[in-house]
Amino acid sequence: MEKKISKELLKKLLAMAHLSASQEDLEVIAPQLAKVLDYFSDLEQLNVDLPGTSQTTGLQNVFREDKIESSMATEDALYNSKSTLNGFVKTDIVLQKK
Amino acid sequence: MFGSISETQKAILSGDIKCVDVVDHFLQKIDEKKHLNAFLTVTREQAYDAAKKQDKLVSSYGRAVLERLPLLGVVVSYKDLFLTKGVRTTAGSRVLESYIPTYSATIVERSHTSGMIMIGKTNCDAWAHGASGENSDFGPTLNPHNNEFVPGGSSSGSAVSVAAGLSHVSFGTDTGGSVRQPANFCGIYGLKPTYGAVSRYGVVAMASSLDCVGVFSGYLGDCKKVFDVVRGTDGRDATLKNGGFHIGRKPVIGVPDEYFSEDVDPVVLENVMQALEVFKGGGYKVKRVKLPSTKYAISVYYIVQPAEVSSNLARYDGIRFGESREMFGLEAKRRIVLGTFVLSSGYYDEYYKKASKVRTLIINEFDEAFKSVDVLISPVSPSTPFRIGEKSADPLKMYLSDILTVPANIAGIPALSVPFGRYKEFPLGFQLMGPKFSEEILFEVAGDFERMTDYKFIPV
Repeated sequence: MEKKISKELLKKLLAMAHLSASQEDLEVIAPQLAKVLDYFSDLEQLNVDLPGTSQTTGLQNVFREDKIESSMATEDALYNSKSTLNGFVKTDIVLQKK
Repeated sequence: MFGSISETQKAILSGDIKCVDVVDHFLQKIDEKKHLNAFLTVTREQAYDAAKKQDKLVSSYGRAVLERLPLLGVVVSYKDLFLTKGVRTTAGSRVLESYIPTYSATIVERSHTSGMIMIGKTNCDAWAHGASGENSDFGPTLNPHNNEFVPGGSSSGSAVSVAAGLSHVSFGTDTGGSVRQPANFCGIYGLKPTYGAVSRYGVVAMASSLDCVGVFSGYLGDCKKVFDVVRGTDGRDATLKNGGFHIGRKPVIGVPDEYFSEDVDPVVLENVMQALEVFKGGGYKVKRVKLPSTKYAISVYYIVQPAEVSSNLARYDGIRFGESREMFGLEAKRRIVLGTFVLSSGYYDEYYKKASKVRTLIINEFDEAFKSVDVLISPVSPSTPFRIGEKSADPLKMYLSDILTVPANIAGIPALSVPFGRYKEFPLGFQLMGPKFSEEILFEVAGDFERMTDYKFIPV
């Protein structure tokens, strides 16, 4: 059976990812995602009693020596920012006073 | 004279040509082949500046210059996913349309320190999402063998850059086949190294547990030379390891049944079987092996990869750099939403967690296979190049093009796309996969094959 992604769920997912889509795009994306999810159903039948893999190097806790090194200059870090003020990135207000 | 690295360097050191002439040659080719839309930025001035400096060094030091610049006079292009200080880097997306990096990727620095000369940044599917080059926000790249067909993707422009003779070599990225498949569709070599062999510092991230930096070249020897210069730890990418080994005997070639299924175009299969006959004729031992979970690879890949994509693309906020998230194209939106879904509470166990377990299963099967064989041979793509527009309206159909290349990414093992044979105007080929850090063995086997078939690269 084909899995459904309702338009409500799709809108919620888009909002969670800070994205928006036109009504037309929603109409296109929803059935495409349903088809892809339907394809994944081959995994459902499979019973796997193995630990998961999230990386393949086997490396753990890779640290450098804790000493001060030179880092990117402020002007370089701000170079591509559209809005800056006194050496900081300027953003819209996130928290408002009541 | 402008063919392989050694041929070009010989001409430079004997005084027949200057580095500036090499740059002239490739810039002229880029102008002639502009319609292929392989380049998003051509770095004409930087290339001439670098070449002039090298010409001075050649006249002062002669042959000894190669000790300082082993890749002197080698013209390189970079997929527009590699940060290049002072040179616009777009990732093929309008989101980064005017982004000018203030630092360079490790591989860019290492390339330039070794003598390579950057000629430009190449077109690609936006954020490396695609198998055709059609998802670029700057228009599709065309296959140089027939302009109505795709060159493969996502490193579309890099493959065309080498295949059409617009640079000696090119760097791409391979998350699920994005170097090997376009190399296959364009008729050149494409190396996807072991995960963790080449630094990804300064590379726009797609799916961090799968992403690899890869190399395109027309000549096998060039691929090895470039790989040797960029590989190894850099103190910046924490996933890096140094490694490599030889086996000291003729490698045994494994043929995994599951890669030769009826879903693969008979033309492609028949050609790989011919390659296998060449190996047998050359005294190679060939063994059949089983990788039964290969059939789950696409599901695993298209769960794990979008999950990591949704996380990596979350950093594009339009505040510190780049345009707003409104500028993401449809394919990026699809992958972000899919990734957000498979990671979301209530679906995580069913999708992401399950996929990560099946990933272990696939890895274990490769480990088992490599107990009895040294390399695996298989087709690269299940089909010959497809027409522009043929699959673009059906994402699932496009995703299925990756079916034979994603397993190597899932397992983190190296794989090399080797050109061999033709069908109509299109080149064909096969891939060799080996255990982690077996790149030397892949080069050795491919080199032997090149000698046995007397293969010569001719740019389109």
